[in-house]
Parts: sequence; C-alpha cells; structure tokens
Amino acid sequence: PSVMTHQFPTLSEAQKRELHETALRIVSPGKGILAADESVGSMAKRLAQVGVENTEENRRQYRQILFSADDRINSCIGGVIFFHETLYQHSDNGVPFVKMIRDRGILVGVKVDKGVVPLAGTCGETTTQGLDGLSERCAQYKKDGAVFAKWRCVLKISDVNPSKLAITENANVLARYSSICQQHGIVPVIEPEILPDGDHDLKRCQYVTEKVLAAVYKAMSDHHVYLEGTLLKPNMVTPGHSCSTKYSPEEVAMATLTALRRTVPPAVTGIAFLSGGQSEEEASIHLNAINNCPLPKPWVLTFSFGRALQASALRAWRGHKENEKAATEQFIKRAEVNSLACQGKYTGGDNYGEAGQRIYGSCHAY
Amino acid sequence: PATSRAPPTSWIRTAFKCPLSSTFRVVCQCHFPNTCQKTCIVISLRMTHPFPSLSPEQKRELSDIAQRIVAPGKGILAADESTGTMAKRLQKINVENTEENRRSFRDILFSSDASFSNCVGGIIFFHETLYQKSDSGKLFPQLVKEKGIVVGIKVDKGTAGLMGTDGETTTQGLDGLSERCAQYKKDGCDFAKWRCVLKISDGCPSALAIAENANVLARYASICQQNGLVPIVEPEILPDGDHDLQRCQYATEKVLAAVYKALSDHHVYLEGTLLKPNMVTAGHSCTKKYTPQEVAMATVTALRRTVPASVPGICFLSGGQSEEEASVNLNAINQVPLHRPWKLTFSYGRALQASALAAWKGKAENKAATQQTFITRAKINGLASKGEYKPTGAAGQASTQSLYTASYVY
Repeated sequence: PSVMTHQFPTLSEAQKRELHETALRIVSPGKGILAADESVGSMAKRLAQVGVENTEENRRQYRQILFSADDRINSCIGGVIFFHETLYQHSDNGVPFVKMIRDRGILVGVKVDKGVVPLAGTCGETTTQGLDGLSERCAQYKKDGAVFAKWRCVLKISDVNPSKLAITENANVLARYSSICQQHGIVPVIEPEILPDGDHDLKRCQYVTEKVLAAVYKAMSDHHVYLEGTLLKPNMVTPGHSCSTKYSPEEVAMATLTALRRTVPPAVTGIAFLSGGQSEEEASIHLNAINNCPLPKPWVLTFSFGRALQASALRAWRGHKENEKAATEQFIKRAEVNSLACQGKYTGGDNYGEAGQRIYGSCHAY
Repeated sequence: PATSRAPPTSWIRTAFKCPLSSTFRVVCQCHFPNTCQKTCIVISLRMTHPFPSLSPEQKRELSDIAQRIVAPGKGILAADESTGTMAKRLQKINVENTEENRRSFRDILFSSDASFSNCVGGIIFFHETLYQKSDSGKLFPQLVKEKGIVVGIKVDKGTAGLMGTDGETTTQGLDGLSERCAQYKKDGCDFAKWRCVLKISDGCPSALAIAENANVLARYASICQQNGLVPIVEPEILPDGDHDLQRCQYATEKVLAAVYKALSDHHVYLEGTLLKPNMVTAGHSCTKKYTPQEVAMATVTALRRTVPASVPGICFLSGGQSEEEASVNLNAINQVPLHRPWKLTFSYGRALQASALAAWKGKAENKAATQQTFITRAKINGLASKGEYKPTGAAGQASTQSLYTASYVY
C-alpha cells in the first residue's frame, strides 16, 4: 500500500531558493503585478468598448503603450503577466517586449491555463484546462524569459454554488499546475477567483472564500507544493454586485484579512489581489484599507490588477496614435496609486472622505 | 431540490422564508400549506451556506481566553496526568499512587508563590483534580483562578485501536462530550485538551490515521466551543523510531495540513483555539544529532506551512525531552529568523515537573524545595517563550544566531 508520508525529494535546495527569491522580488515593498494577459477573446471585449478592431497589430500597439511607460513604474511594478502571443511580440523599434520589461528589472510571467470548461452535473460551474503538455510548455517559457506563471480558476456564489465538486476539482487542478511549474523554476501564481456576481452579502462571500482557500491549501499540501515559492491571487471579500447593503472599505478589509488569516499559511510569500469588477479607484481604496487593517499580516498584500490598472489608459487611447503618451500617463498614474495603496499610504481618492475617520470595528463579528 | 416530476395540480405550492437564513426558502407542497409544517420540504444544505455556529460574543469570549493563556512570557502547566500515568511518575520516586498522594503533589505545585503566574497562563487538570481541595480547604480551580491562571481540563478518554493499521490509534471521548463540557464550564474551566497520537515508521502515519485523528480533533473542538471552552488541539507525533529530522518535518506538515482542513470543514473558530504539537525532532534512535537551531528551524518551517495566522498560540508538548532540552529548544524556536505570527510557548508536563517530583519524594518537609524547583523551571520556560533564556555557560544570542543561517533549505 502506498505510504503517504514517505518523502521523495521534489525540489533541490537550489531550486527552492530560486523560487522563493523570485516570489519575493515580484512582491517587493511597494510593488505589485500588472496583469496584461487578457486572452484574444477578452481583448475583443476591451477593444470593442473603445471602438478598436481586435487585430493582432492593435493588441501589440496597446500593450506597447503599457510597456513603454518610463522609469516611474520600476518601483511600482514587480511583475507583468503576459498572454502567450504577447511574449513573442516586439515594439515598433523591434525590441522584444520581454526584453523591454526585463531590462528594467521587472519580472516576466505568462498565463498558462487554457480557459474554463464546464463540470457536468453542476449548476453552471467550471474547472480550468491546460495541464496537457504543461511541463514542456513551462520549460519553453522559462527559456523564453518567463519566471512566473498564472492559472485562473473560477467559482461562483449562488443558492447552490460553489458545490463541493467545484471546490475540490478546482483546488486540485491548481495544485497540479503549481507542482508542474515549480519543477521548471517557475513561480506559480494561484488564482481561485470567486466571482462577485449575485446578491449575496459580505458574510456569505467571506464564508465561501474561507472554504475555497482551505481546500486550495490542503490540495497544495497533498501535491507537495513548496509554498514559499508561490503567490496567491484571490478575490477580495466583497458583497455581490446586486447586494442591496453597502459596506465601507474598512468592512471589506476586515472581512478579507480575516478570511486570509484563517486559511493562507504564513509560508506563502505574498498575496496579490485581483480587481474583479471593481473600478480603478475602488480597487485602490480597498487595497489601501486592507493594508491599514489592524490585524497582523504575515504576508505581503499587494495587487495583481488588469482592468483596475488599464481602464483609464484604454479609454484615453481609443486606438489613436496621437493619444499614446496620454494613455501611458494614465497607466503610470494608476501604478503609482496602487504602489501607495499596497503600503497603506494612499490618502487621495475622490470619494474617500476624511482620512482620520477609519473605523475598522470589532474583528469578532467576522 | 427540484423534483423530477411535477406535483399533482390539486396541490398548492407555497414558499416560506426560512427563519434561520434569508438565502433559504422552505417549499411546502400539499393541500393545506397553512397548517402543514411537518411535511415541508427543506432545500438540502449546501456546504457553503453559513449557519451561525457562534455569536460575536461567544467568539470574543473564546478569543479572550486563548489570549490570556498565551499572554507574553506565559505557557501552560500540563498537570493532567491520568491515574495510570501518575502511577508511573510516582513509582519512579517510590511513592504510592493514592488519591491523597496525587492531591498532595498537585497541592504543592498550585500553592507555590503567586509569582509563578507570571510564567504560567493556564493549568490543565485531570478530572479527579478538578474536585480536590488544597490543604487550606480551597478547591483547586478556585485556588488557581485567584492567581489569575486559567483552568483547563483534559476531556479525552484515551486512545482506541484502528483496525487494519499497523498499531495506529484514534482517540475516544466524544460521547456526551457536550454535556460534560457544559458541566466543566460551570465548575470553573475555560479550556480543554484532547490528545491524539500518531507515529512514524515505514508504514505510518497512514492516510486513515491522519484523516481519522484530524476529524475527531475537529469534532472535539467544535463541541468545546459551543460550551465556551477553548479547545487545545493536540496531534502528537511520537518521537519513537530512527527517522531523521526531515522525515519528522514532512510527517508533521502532512498531519497539520489535515488537522486544519478538518477544523475548516467543521467550522471551528480558529481565533478561539490553541495548538499543542510536537516539536520537529529526529526519532529517539536516530544516529544523527541535531542542534537546537536545526530543531527550531525545522519546527517553525513546518508550522509556517500549515498553521493559519489566526491561531493565537502554539504550545509545544515536551514529549520525551528532558527539562533542559525542552527549554533550550523552545528558546531556539523563539529566535528563529522567520516571521512567526502566533505565540510559541510551552505546554509541559514532565518538562516542568520532573525535578520537582524528584525533590518531593512524597515527603511534606520537602514542600518548599519542591516549589522552588518548580518555580525555577517555570521561570526558565517563561523566558524561553520569549527567546530570552540564557543557559549558564551557553553562548550569547549573537553567536547562536549564526547557527540558523545554515545552508540547508527546509
């Protein structure tokens, strides 16, 4: 019979050290991740919103706007997640995007999953595919300059969801992906996103987040994943989009931090939140409140934002070359704001009100 | 759940809002929905619907108790040796195992100078001891509480064999546990302890032993919290065997990951619990010797990978360690240059009482010497829980610090 507690070496000391150091660099103080890994299908939606045709050239030009930001972003961005296509594109001057990013000390990551597929017998739930040949793909990505990867699983809240199957299956596939990445010196960013769709309240989201993350880390343990060489990309704990109750940033922060403290082992190097459907400002304000929440935080708490870093830039660009510099400025501005937010130092914001009135309330209600 | 066939058209279908949770609807399908309650169909429970297990007040109480037990510089005196275990202890000093002798020894310890409450935050009692009195006529729980020390009680009923395994066990004691906890709370207890045992060998711990012990610990914890008792969760991995440090670390990580998954599944409020694990050490018969810094690094690494930050404190058992070994190791643990989000302190039985027992020898005239010995050990461990213990003749902190920067990546 197989003996579950016999250890067989998965990673050498040198491999562990490399993974841990890479993870630390991505979430260095004041830094977070630019998620620029929108698939071709996702880019279609983004570009349609600003009336731009979804061609490979337009996608290249758009990413160029982000990557040609000046040195101001070097202290705000620790890593950029690429989509496969973008990894092999160049700037107008023929400089590979990967080189542009690496030359300023920013680490290159790549989205490696192949999208969601339905789980039969569930109420519209999914798992994520992409494990086939993942090992070989990781080896190639490492050669091509990537040092971290991202894989997104999706869960949703409803009367009957997430089901036990969805939680277990997604936790398992995230652990398999992580295990394979680490074999190739690639730090896995683990993303179990719980969608904000629905009318559930803050408590419900907190409860579900705790159950999902507990399952994720049990799966990580079962698959012998080296936690110090991973990053977590979770949702913040928020009410559903159609929830009638409004919550303050402090309440969101308290619920989020409580859920994480109950489930994410201290050995995990950093937590980089996704922005989900939040506006740019909302995401920054929440991140700031999380970093000011008076509960001890054993991991770095930073950002891995897509829309919340790019929305204004995209709107400023609208596909016109003459708008490029203005668009880049919008991106730099958001990067700087989030750099402050991930250190709890963001004091600006249109709707943020008096700085001294933060009331976090009792943690025993969570 | 949606039924596969439609109800007869003569039936009336009415939906009621569930009084417990606004996310539920109770659907009644019958002729007389207004009067019918017993045949209502309740939508089956989904795992992610939260049903309140504890109120905010209950959570606050549990959290406060836990914090008091592991207040800075404090740990736990495990004085909960069963009658059978006391027989072994007393036999070593040639004292008869009578109820009076057991009472007498505990009395000496608990009546020590009040200063020992600066290093002892909680005392775990055995059932018998909870209802015994000091020479002064005071019940022991009262005597202890007056010194500001929290009273705890061992509630498990010992191990039971797991058939089909290589001598592995689970722990029994769940029957009627809720009622017992309620009574213990009335009788002055604010925390409880339950010990599970695992061992390392070629085939152990098995998947069954890990899952079963994790589950029973979670059931115990859940019941305790319902009754206002902070559960100390003790998944002891025995040091018997010739395995090396890495093997123990690996097993400890697997066991603790299972424990915390079970606690999550059973909706246990982590902020109102304490963990009592083994330190990560090599097996007793392992030929390789490890330094306290290696033990400490392996221990803290294993804990950082498995124990959520919301657990307020980790109180190590001493297992087979000598008094000094247990203190030196605890001290090293509190000096590990890794972030430690929980208190790391002691819950020692033998490692606090061995010398005291030897000083006592069952003679009343040795009371002062016994108390002195006990207080000395308690103070040392209080310092160790802050990483401030300097054994005489030992190198200063600066020089031991270098021993942590080993090349080995755990």
